[in-house]
Amino acid sequence: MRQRCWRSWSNYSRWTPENRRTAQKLKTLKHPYLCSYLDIIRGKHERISVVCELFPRNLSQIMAGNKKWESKEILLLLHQVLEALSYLEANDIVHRALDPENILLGWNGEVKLFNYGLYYMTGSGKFVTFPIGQPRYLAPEILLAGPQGIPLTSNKVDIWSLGMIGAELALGDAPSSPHSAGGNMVQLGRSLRRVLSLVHCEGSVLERLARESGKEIAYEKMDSTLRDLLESCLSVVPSKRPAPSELLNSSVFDFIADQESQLGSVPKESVKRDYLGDRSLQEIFYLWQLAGGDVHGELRRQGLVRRRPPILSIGNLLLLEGKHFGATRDPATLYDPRVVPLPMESLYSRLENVPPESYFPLIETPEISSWGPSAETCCLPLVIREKDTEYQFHRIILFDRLLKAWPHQHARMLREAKQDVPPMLRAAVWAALLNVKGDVEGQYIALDKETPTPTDRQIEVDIPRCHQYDELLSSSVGHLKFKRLLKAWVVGHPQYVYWQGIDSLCAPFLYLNFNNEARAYACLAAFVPKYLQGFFLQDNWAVVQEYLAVFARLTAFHEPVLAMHMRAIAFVPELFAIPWFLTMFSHVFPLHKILPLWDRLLLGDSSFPLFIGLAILRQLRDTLLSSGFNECILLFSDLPDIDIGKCTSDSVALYCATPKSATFRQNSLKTEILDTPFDVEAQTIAELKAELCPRISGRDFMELLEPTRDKNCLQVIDIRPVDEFAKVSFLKSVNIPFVDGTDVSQAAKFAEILLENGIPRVCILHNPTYVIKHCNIKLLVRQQKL
Amino acid sequence: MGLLTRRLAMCFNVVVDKERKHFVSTEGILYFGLHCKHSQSYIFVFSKVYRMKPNAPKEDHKIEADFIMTFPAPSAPEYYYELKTCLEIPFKDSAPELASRLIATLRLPHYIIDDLTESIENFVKEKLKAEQDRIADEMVAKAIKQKNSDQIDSLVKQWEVAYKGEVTQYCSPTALSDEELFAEAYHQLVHSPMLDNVLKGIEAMSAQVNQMVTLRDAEINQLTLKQEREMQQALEALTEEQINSLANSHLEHKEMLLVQWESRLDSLKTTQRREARAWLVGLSQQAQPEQNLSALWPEFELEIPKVQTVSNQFLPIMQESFTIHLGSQMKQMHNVRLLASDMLALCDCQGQTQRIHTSLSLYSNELQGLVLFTDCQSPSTSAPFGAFQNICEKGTELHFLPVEQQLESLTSQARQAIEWRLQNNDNKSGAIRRNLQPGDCYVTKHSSLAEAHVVYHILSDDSIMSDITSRHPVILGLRNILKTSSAYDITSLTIPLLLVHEMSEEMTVVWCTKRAELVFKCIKGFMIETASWGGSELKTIQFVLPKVENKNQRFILQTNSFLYRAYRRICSRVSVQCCQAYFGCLTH
Repeated sequence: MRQRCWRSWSNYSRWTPENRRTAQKLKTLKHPYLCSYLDIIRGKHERISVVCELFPRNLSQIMAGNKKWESKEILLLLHQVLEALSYLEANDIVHRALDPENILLGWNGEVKLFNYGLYYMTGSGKFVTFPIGQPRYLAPEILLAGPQGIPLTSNKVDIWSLGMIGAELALGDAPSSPHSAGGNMVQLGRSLRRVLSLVHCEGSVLERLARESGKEIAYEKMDSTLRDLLESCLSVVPSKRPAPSELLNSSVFDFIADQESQLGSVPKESVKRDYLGDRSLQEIFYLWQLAGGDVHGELRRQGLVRRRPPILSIGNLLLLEGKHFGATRDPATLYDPRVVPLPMESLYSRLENVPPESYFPLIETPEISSWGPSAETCCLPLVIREKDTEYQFHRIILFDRLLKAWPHQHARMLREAKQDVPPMLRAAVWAALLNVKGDVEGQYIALDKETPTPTDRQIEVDIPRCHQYDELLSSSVGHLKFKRLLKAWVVGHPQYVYWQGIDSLCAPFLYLNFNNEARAYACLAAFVPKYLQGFFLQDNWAVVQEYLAVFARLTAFHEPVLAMHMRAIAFVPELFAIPWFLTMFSHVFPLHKILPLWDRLLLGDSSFPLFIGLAILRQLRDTLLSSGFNECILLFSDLPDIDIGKCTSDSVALYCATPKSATFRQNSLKTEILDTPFDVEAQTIAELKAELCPRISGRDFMELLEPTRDKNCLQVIDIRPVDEFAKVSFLKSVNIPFVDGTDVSQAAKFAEILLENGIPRVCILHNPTYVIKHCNIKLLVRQQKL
Repeated sequence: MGLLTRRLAMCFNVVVDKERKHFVSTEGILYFGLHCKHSQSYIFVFSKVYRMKPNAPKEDHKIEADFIMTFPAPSAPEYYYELKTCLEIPFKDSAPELASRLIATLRLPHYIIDDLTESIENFVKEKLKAEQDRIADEMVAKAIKQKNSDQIDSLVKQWEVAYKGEVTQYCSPTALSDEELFAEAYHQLVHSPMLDNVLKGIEAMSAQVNQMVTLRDAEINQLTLKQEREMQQALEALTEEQINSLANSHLEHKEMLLVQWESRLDSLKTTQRREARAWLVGLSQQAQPEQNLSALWPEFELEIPKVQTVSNQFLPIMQESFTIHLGSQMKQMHNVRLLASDMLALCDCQGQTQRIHTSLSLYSNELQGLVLFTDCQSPSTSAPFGAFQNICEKGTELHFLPVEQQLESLTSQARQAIEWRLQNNDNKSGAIRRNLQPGDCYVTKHSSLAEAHVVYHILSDDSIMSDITSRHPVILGLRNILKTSSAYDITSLTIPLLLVHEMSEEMTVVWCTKRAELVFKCIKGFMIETASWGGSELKTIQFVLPKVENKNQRFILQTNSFLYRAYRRICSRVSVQCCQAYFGCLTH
């Protein structure tokens, strides 16, 4: 079985969270000749480990084996490296550490450049105290600048390194025994002097290298195209050295048409196809972590992370300026370039029993259950499902396929998302659920995110307060992206203004799409009208008031006792629920709770958030009932721990147990227009507040009254006088005469009495006279004429 | 504005066309005018593009370059628009965004967007390359000119130092120091069934020291009594001169005795230390080859003198614990303990259990720290420090140097530190003191104290008694302490709440409450701050109130209400418990 491995290297010393964020870009780089970066993990005490693709062979091993190199082979190799380098150049990345050990060879013998992100992610070496690169291959201008570095490093330094490597290959002059413990220091000085002396070389550098190593014959015999190429790479004066992209276009490489690399591929050991190995590395790494993989644990096991007991290192004088004296350096804080392959056995054994069919689930034909996750796993709680390797494997494969078939498979996606959303693909699934499509990138680019606007100040104040416990969002890159997103939103929505809270709303999208601002923006732009229509108007009073009034009514509907208690102590929703709804709970919960909550929220309609609020109240019910006004305020000012799993399932249950019309708001985004007399009409805020119970529309009412429905789902109480009731009444209704005529305010009063007695699920029929006159005759009981 | 445009026009050699309007937009100043160039008419567009201040550090090298693009005017192809804008190199913006921004604000025809994007990209790339080459070429040219070998030597040296000091590959492999070997041996032993033996051994040593201290105190007492008696007699019988000489001889005698005892104690401790270390290392080496340690331990019967159980002369510590959650969305849990006790009594080891705790965690990643205040003028001779020394003296210090010696090594550090300060703080106004300042802090390590492995002695002066703000050096010192704690795995910290050890007359209730509030507020802020530093979390923080009878009951109540306010409790259940604990305390 062919195994991919990852290596991770670790190092410590003055890494700030910043560089890790900049390094996020590395994860997006994809090129056939580059090893991809998978993750950069920050451990305790700022130890950073990098996880990336690794191949077992590198150029240095082959050079040590004294292989004879044909000039064509060398050119081929150089060409591939150059392709990778020019890709890096296009992405503004300088390798700076190019050496034979960092040129790995893939399974088919192709070049795989390694460790190319170190210089980039360390902010051109500024964030770390250690020097980057092997001195033997460093360009002279780097060494001349000293360890503190030059202000701007061009990609030409990599060309020098490439020239050095090429020269070693062509001259057959491999460095002897690179890793003798004591010899390192001696070699270090020697290689430094060697490179520095080349500065004064007046003729050809290549010739001089050949002379120094006694390989003049090899130099003389060298293929002239190769010699010219290497000599141009080894120009001491940087401006005379070509950049990777320039060199790549040179005619030397014309002979490479579509010839594959001849460096020798690894014969495949077995005929059995490695299905898992064909999945993307990101996916495998995610599953590997689920299967118990732990990068830092692995490093520790291999003896890489070994700290001195901290008490031995602590200094004995601490100045006011924060400087330590007398502290000893823990050797574990040095840069450690060692590579540790991460073992894949446990993941493979975990997925051993997965049939090959499971890698290709059918999405058009009926499912075959044995190919998918087992039925028992599907019933486990979400938290366990999210940690289950096999289950996540199936879900990722399925959602991956569905995403590829989206929007054609939108309905299926909705159905599957109801079960759960695999955390790994959450960003893409959310975008699909929010119907984000079209030229997302282009639209985002067109928005002006730079020009100062009056809201900038407020945005700048808010960002450093928003979900700052998260490493990504608290970094300076995170802040910059945050600001761009918010400014784009403000510019893109001239009808709205920036309200505090939109920052929290933006956070989950930015967190998920950290490397894809455009998608984050598109999601945010789609989310706001769906759930928060009108909330960000300059004057949003009416919208918010209506929302809260409906919320209060729903509370009364489901939790009459609690509602009456809160009313009695004057603890109205205005005092606590505005941040809940304005930010869709993203202001009150940490990200790891918002994500599963929103998984569910995105499937619901614009009224769903109301039920989440209700579910929260329900969880705090006992505390609230036993508290007075002040305690309640204190309780909500810092929301206590809420069980999110319970909260989501509660809110779904509550949502299903509520007539649609009870959640009617005139300001919500309408998908269909319902304005017959059988529907609920808009009420003024005052009316909304006066009536404690929600209203049910004639349409919903009649549906519930259908004889086919469960008998217990509705109990009609008719409060008209006896004689009117006797004339005509609804099926199964009970007459409790309370008023003359059909005065609605009387109905409200009656409902209040019911509420005071703790009767749940009371609602008032809207427009009852019309309904009773025009409804289906089968639903009525008429007085029999005697 | 008119003046400015005229200036601009002059600068850029523009003929101002009075007919056309100039206007100001958020993008800066835009100017439309006719411009003659190569006998062809250009319409000239100038703009200064603002961009967000990049967050990159200031020392980043950058230059500015004027980007110019011309294109035919849409309505009159014989005219040309010239677009000119100043760009920063290296260009950190995105070219397509800049292009669409320019088009939007300057109302340029939209069809040029692709050309514009491309030409910005190329321009930026070229300029960057030119600048990179310029810098690198300069560097090489300079080196070629200088044929001085000293230059190269110093460069090579710099690089060697950099590689040696920072990269494991080049770092000379250091053997484990004695300290580390001992630490490892000890840590292994105390986490094995040998623990009991080890502790007994240490206990025995402490007892020996304690015995000697008691003997010394007794003998000195005796001597004092005897001398007093003699003096009494002398006063009655002898002349002044004789009395003086007697007094002198008494003094000498006493000092001599003290010195004798001191040296005896010292030699006892040194022997103990040496023997114990050898014993422990031996023990661990013997234990190592055989996995089953439990089989070994009964053989190690040490002769242990009976340990006298010390009666606890301190009153039970009055205390309350709270669980607090800090942070706005993500809550971080910490324990807060509030207690009324003497700071020094806290670290005095009272028995086996405390010692077990200290020894188990000594080389772990869960250390305990304690903050003591010391006078700035004479740190090592001040009264609180003396008392602290006495407590240290009682136990046997096997792991670290005796506290006096730790202090001695500090003096040289202090000299270095002051020199560093002189070099680095020259811009600060005011004279810099020749010795350490308030807010500086020295650190001692201990293995024989209760509640503390690391003791921070923070220097303060008289200003601590006055009204201080959150910018007082002592408060900043506390911030450093929290920061250090997080870097060195000190997960539990004890701080005197009022920043003094003893109550005095000036400390009114108002003063105390104000001070407590300040300390709570600041420490809370620092704790939130430390959470983002990636060190270890501070799990427990203890605030200690000076122990004063009668006043305390009332005071603890008030402090509590501040604790209440400062750390807004989040979890309702916990808060109820807190309340109960808190009211429970009141009724006692």
